[in-house]
Amino acid sequence: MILESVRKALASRTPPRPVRPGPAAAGAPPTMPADAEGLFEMFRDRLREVGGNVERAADPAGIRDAFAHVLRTHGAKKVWIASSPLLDPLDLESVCRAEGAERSRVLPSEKPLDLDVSVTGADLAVAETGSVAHLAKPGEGRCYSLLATVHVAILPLARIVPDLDAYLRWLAPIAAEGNRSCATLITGPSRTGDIEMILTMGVHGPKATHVLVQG
Amino acid sequence: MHLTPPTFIRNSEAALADAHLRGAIGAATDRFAGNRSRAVAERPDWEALRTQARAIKDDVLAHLDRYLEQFEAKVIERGGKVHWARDAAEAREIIVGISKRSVTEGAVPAAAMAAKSKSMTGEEVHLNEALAAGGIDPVETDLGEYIIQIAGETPSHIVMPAIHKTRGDIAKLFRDKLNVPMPEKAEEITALARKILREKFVQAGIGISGVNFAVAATGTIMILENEGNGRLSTTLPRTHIALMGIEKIVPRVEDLAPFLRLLPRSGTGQRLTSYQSFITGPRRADEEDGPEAFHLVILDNRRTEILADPEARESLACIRCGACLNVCPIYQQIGGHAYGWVYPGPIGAILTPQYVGLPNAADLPYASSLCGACKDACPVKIDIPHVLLHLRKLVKEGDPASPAATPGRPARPAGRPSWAERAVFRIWARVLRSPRLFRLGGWIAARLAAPLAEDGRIRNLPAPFSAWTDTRDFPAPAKESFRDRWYRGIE
Repeated sequence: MILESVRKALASRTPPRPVRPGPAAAGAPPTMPADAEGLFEMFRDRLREVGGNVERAADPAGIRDAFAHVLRTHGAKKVWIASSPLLDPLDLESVCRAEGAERSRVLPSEKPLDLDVSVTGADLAVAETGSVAHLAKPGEGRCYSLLATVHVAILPLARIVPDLDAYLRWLAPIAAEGNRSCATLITGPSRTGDIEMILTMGVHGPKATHVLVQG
Repeated sequence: MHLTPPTFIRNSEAALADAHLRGAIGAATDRFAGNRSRAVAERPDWEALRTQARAIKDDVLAHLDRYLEQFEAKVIERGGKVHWARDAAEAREIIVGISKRSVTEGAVPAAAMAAKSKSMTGEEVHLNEALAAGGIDPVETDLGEYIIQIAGETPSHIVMPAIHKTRGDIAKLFRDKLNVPMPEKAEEITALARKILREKFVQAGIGISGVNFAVAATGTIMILENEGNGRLSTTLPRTHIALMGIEKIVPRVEDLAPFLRLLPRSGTGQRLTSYQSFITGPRRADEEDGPEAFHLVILDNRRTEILADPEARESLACIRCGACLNVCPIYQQIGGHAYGWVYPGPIGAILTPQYVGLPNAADLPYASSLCGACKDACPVKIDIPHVLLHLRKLVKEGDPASPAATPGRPARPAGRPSWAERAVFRIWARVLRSPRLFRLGGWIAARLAAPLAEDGRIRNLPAPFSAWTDTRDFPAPAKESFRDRWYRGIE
């Protein structure tokens, strides 16, 4: 039994060699912005650095405009929109119709490979890395943010947290409670450098991502 | 797959003669090392992060039994199944067994195809051949792994498996093996792979992944990636099998923070990879997608032996970033295949002998100039040069009881040092202890060396010293020692 082998291995009387102290641990962690504006700016800059798009609008009308722009930019025809208290009031379906796109009701079990755009909420955004966090839940399966050619994440300004520690503090009780099977941290489009280190987007996941921040 | 750790010297000679390979590896490692430096510079607290991460790993290893028990209990509580594999054969048997059963179970038969996302541990246990033999078609979905799978090759780098291939190589490969018109640009190659592999993801009944980190407190596994194939293979197929070594544990979710900052920067020079999946068990009853069955296979395969060796235990702290490869002057010249097995470069030089048995890989601990670049680059501060010296000692002693020896196989013939080696070192020690003998020895050496030197280097010495000069040049001793020049009065 492996646990037995582990216990035997640890029963050795010789302690492992201590780690030599390296160069003096001089620097402190970078300071994060303290206010919502600063957090938004850092989030926007860092996500743009890795090829993601960020737009901000003060009100639902502005978000609808930004969404319309996304649909036009990508010539979207087939759009999947999550149903949630965050997204329903925005009535993005009417924006689709106005832009000549169809709202798809496809289910994950139908393995939708042909979605042009998918829209989900984001549970959190992380300024340090330009990431959005998505917890898979009823009405927002895991696959949509992955299979569509373009992924749009919409969230209120207040959900932008400073750093990865804040994200993990959010995740820990959810994981401990155990009611949800999958949280994903998404930072920009899918990418690879496997061919001669030439950076290419959209390998298996979306080729483009848009984060629309309301507030 | 051809494993060749015993022929490292021949492999590296062949690699050195391959100008194309050296160009590709050189360019890639340069780029990686440069990207890493830039990404590291962004964190003034880089040293503190390394210290913190290493402390977490040391704590986990020191209490590994407790953490493994906690982890197993949590995974089961969350609806997952846990399997323990003592060695590669058991891991193969377990995974093929689960795969075959999952194909026949269930209301709708699932395709006997496994979508595989990148797993070094999967390579370690030679999973693909076993799956194929068991009637399950294994499809590599990481683009680099897919490329070498079609080519019938093995990966040459931990992070960039197809780094030894040019764009032209890959384009021709696709044309020849996939029967498609030859793609030109990297974008076209990628789009082709995307299209082909999506069909596989959708059909496959099984998804097989590795695990970057496993959280004991919650039974959560974390998978890092850039492409999205990890997410796809753990979302679409009905059954998810995750394979991990016992050392992948971290205690709590919060302990992932330093690793999330260290690993992407060390591996690819990124602030963060595109996707991190935090998976806790199979899909819940009210969720719309995700696997119905989640199987975790926990592998030993001699890791407990490494754990038992206080000088080698830190080898288990490795987070598989590949940073040591990119800065290693040996790896930069010969690439990964020469190391003959799954783990190349400095980490391979210490892991491979310990996993496959020291007699089978006795040259690898010597594949180093002990420059220490790997030790500086390692995000978890593994003192690789120290472990290399420890393994060299074991090679010399031919210790059958050492964790790195294989039971039943004789140790390498160079067990006890030869009479010549012992004599030379005895003389050397005597000379170094006496200033007079040292001066005399230097004077003699300079006179003796003069006829043997070409262009200031000694390239050939007679046996038994040829054992050195076969693979090394010595600088010729100077006509006048520094000491003499100093006392003469240097201008």
